[in-house]
Amino acid sequence: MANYCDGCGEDPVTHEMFKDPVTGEFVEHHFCANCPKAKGLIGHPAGGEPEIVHQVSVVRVTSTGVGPCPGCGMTFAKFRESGRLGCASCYTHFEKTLGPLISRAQEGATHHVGKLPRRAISCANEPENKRSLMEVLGRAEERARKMAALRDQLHVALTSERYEQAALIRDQIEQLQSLYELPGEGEG
Amino acid sequence: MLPEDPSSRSSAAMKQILEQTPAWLSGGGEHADVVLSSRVRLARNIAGFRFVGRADVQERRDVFNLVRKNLTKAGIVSEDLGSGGACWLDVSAIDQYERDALSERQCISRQHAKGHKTSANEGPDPRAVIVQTPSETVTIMVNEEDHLRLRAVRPGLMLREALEEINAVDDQVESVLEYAFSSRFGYLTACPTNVGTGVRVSVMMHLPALRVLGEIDRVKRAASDMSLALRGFWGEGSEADGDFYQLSNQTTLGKSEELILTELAGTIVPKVIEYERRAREKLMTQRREFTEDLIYRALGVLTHARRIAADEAMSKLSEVRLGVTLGLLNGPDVATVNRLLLMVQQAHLQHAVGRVLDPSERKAARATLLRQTLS
Repeated sequence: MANYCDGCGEDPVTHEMFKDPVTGEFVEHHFCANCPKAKGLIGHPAGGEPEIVHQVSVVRVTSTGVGPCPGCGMTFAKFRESGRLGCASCYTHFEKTLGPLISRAQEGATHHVGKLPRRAISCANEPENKRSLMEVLGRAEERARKMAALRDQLHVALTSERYEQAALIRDQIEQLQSLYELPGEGEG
Repeated sequence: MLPEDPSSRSSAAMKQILEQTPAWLSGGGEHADVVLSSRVRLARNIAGFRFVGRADVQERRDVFNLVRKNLTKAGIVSEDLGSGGACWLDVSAIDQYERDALSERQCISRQHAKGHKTSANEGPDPRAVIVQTPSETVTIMVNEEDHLRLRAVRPGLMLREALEEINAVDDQVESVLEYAFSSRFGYLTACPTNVGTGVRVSVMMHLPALRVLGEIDRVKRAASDMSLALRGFWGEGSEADGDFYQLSNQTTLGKSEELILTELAGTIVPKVIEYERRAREKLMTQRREFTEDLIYRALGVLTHARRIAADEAMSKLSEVRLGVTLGLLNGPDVATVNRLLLMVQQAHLQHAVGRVLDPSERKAARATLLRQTLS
């Protein structure tokens, strides 16, 4: 636990994580509630004068409220220190706290919309594989969010006249739609 | 420590690799005057195992053995080196200079050459690299930061081909190993900055004219405006030895692999190519004498020096490469200059000489190699 605000030296009320734009590492900073340095002035971990490296919207992370990951024993504090997660289960176990941090490091993205494991897709019509297909595609709410994100991307690409990118996004939407319509996927 | 005769202790695979030149240094491909190579890598982890940084040595060894067994069974790894397939190299079992040589060839990262710390009774860090021979177009690092780091590299601007190639390898690997994947976050990686597609698309560019004219910051700003990373390639940290820069995507989630590639290849890369070409034109039209002097001096140093440090050699080779692409020099060809960029590196130099060299001996050996090749 940090005791003092990195900006003004007062007691902190928040914990902040930032992605270092140079190394890609997650860096922890501590700011009090109204510290002006929390709004875009982030000191570089190598030391020296704070410099404007990244304009950020401040998301306050206090505590995960959950214990160590059942898959590997990793704690959230340990993750903050190393910037590395311990196992696949960490993503589910810390999802609530990790989600906003990932989204911030990934320019606001919240859901994966790229390649899907081929094995789950190619066996989609076999009843015993229905569960793994569900795991890959996600449930209804998640599917809707992915579709909404893709439609937003399509809109941005079209309005900025980036037609090659728009075509790729449209292909992606069509591919997901066809997967969602596979037999036995009604409950998804 | 390098043995008296390094080849005697090297594995047959290592020996074969060090005798050949990677295809990405051939000087071919589109826009080869500015773009050295195009690379796509995928970060993947195997379901049911802790990530490498969290797993103990035994678990990392289990991953090592499982990957080797399944990829050999699937025909991705070939036991027969003559078949032109991909060979398995146990990174902890080869000599230190061979690990360094693999790193100089961009087959493995510096971190992979170093390995994770293990205690004396745990034995060496179980890690490997699969190298497609003889082209070295595809490599797969096993137990680096993620269980698997798959990479395809092509000469010139050939990102799409590299993506197609690595996707096909990824599909093959996935048919025999189950990946850690979540519907929300996609392919799960040790570092959340890689999560989602796990893809890093990068283009290695040679930008000597922009450096000479002091305009490299313009490229840096353009890259940063688009949330892309511009780093040095060959050379420590972000230093760019020999004016080689690597331009790559920073984010991996929320966009398809093709879109990430298109954003890089369709926008900033053509812009940087254009900036560099304009700078070269400016050198030829407005600063011709200065440019000729720069290039002939560089060639003079490379063909006459008796001792030369690696960074000076890289910098002079970069200027000679510029001279070749500008048509100011009749020889050497781009492929020879590219090959020399690799041969002057420490581990390759020691391999060529066949013994350990102290820094002073290295300078002399490097100068000899350059003189013999370029004279």
